[in-house]
Amino acid sequence: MNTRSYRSKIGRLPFAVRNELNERIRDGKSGAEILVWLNCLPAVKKVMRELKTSIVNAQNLTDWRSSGYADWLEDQKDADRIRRLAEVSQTLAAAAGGNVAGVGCSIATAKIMDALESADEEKIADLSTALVKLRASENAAQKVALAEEKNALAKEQLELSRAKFERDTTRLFIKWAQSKDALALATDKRLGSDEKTERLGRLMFGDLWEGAEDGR
Amino acid sequence: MNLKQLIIAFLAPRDPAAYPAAAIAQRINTSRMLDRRCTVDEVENALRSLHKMEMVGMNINKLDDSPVWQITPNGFQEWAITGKVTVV
Repeated sequence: MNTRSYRSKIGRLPFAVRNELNERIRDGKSGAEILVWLNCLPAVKKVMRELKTSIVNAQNLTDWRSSGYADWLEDQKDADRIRRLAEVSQTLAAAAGGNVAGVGCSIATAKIMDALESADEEKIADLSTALVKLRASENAAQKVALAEEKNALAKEQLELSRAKFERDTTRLFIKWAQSKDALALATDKRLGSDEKTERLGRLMFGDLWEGAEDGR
Repeated sequence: MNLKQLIIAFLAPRDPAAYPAAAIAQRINTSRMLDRRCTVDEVENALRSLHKMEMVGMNINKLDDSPVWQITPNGFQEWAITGKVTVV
């Protein structure tokens, strides 16, 4: 623990310096780099003067790695474990309903945390797995529901388009049924069906009919 | 570490959980991270002081009208700066 007292040179340095030193070791800085940085700090020089000793050396750093640094790493693991439990607890509290940011949810999170912290790791792992599965099945169900909603929307749009097409065609029929030219073409017995379609198309849509020719 | 630092070391990793002072005192005593046992009154005083420094927030548990305490962003930042010491 960082609260333990250490009798080594590094162990007697201020808490903040030891903390930064631990972070540098964790980040993979070399021993030489760390020693240069450490021995230049005024706080370190002051402690070394008080201890009437020389600078922090490579052996001191090696000793620290197996004592204070190892303890610090354990502390970080504890912090990570508690943070994970807090996340699970918050998820469970939120799942019970209510406002996630509300006081009730924070109190419920604390109660769940108490229960989880006193449970063994295996039970917590089982609970996490169950939660992950539950969430995955919820997500899958949501995806299906979304796809169904999308299909229903597409069908609705198709029906709307067809209704519009039918209405537009009916309007066109009413309009062109009053045209003598169109009526003559439609009733001309000398023309075949294709020819009538072609000529009526040209009459009704002009140049646009040419463009639509390929799509017929 | 002093009592205020230990309160932060208890509340911060458990964010957003909110605890009454008695629960915080009990957990700090169980952890044996303070070189003596602390009382609920001491923890309440320390919490009020941390509240003035905006490191903890106070809310009322509507079930029994008792205060519950949780970490604030300032408190969380302080916890990170001081090495994330955790009261387990």
